[in-house]
Amino acid sequence: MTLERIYEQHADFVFRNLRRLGVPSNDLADAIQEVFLTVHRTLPQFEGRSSVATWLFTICRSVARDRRQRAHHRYEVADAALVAREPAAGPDLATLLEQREKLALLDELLLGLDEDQRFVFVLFELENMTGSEIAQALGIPEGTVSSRLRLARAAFRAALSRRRAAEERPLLRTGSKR
Amino acid sequence: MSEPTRWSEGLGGATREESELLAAGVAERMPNELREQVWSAIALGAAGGASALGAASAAAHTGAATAETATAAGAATKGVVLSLSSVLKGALAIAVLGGASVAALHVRSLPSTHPPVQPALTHAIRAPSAVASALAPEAESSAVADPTAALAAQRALLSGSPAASAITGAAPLPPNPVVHEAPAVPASKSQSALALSRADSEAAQGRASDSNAHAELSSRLREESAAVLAIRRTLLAGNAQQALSLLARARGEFPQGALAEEREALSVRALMSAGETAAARQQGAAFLRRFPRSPHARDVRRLLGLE
Repeated sequence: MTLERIYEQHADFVFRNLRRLGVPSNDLADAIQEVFLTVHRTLPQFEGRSSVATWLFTICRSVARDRRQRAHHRYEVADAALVAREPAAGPDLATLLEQREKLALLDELLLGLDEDQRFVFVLFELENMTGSEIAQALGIPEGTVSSRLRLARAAFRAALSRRRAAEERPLLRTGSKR
Repeated sequence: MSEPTRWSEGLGGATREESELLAAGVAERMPNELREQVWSAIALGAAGGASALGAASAAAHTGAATAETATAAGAATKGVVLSLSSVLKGALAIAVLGGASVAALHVRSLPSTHPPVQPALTHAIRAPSAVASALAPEAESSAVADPTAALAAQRALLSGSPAASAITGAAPLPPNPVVHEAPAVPASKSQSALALSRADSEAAQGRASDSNAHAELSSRLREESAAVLAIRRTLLAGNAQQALSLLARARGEFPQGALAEEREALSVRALMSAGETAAARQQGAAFLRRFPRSPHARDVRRLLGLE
């Protein structure tokens, strides 16, 4: 297992998770470097007792925490204007924009989740990790993974409903004035 | 624990909108450009991090570094942070060098007692940030003016070679104490800009007459970088035959290219991957004759089972 191979296979994972762990867009490139340089340093000690993704997430979490504390960065959703993310969309501009809007909304909703719930939700629903991998990455029992996942889904759904309701409200108000 | 069903799958229970949002998140990818640029910085840190970047950073703090040593590391990595700032026009070349260098780097073979690279790299990135932004146009024109020298310097940095300072010294810039004073102090930014622009303006006078030739050279270098990068990617994707075909094309287009060394090192790897062992041995022997001091020489020897 070489550093380059790990980068090839997991750079997207690290990119996504650092963002979702609250690393601001202007700090993202440095944070990714830091994660992989940590990988480089500690690879000889990595014995495969956890999956690479679990290991990487642990490093991401630590790097994100340090960077947030060190730089006193505001916890914020990455600015799409600064980090032009690449949704897997076709060349069609409308599709691309639609995907970007979805990503922005997803970020907003994730940000609204309790941090512990968000980690579980992101790793399970977006990163396709198993319950046991998540339990290992977060150092919690598998039962806790399940309960946090349930709570996260409910909170995510509620936040989306509130968001949709808020979008409709101005229209209703305008309508009532007429 | 019985494994829960993914929310967006079959009976998971997510609504269509929820599923679409999750699908967008799953499909999110790191932008290719950022991917390449970050990799070049990682390669720089991993391949020579403890020696090159660490030395640059430490020396920047003691004021012992040449301006180039500190700013080459800083500007290269600043190029990552600023994405398209073109701090170094050879950013692609650096990406290729980094990739080629670390493509062959088997991490387990490195000493596990590396001092922490991250702080050094971060300092190298961060410390000259104000300088790098003030320096950007000058650094850019320097790279355009002499991309081959820039490549040689980057190659030395990547390989952690002690020749790095000798190479960077080939295009002398006076030691610049402002380099390590610059961070986060607005006033020093303008001082840095002044000091650096003075130094660079002298060099710029000598460059003015042949800027077209240099621009053309730089453009060729970018094309060559892209070609080598494509070879590396294809090889990494496991398509050795296609990599060999790209290699043949690159040899035709850039017979004396600045990245011939990286390209030929990749060719040995490609031949081995394609199962053409005899050709790989022949190619490897030719490589070692042509580039006996190459940072890739050790990897080539390993590939050939010579060490």
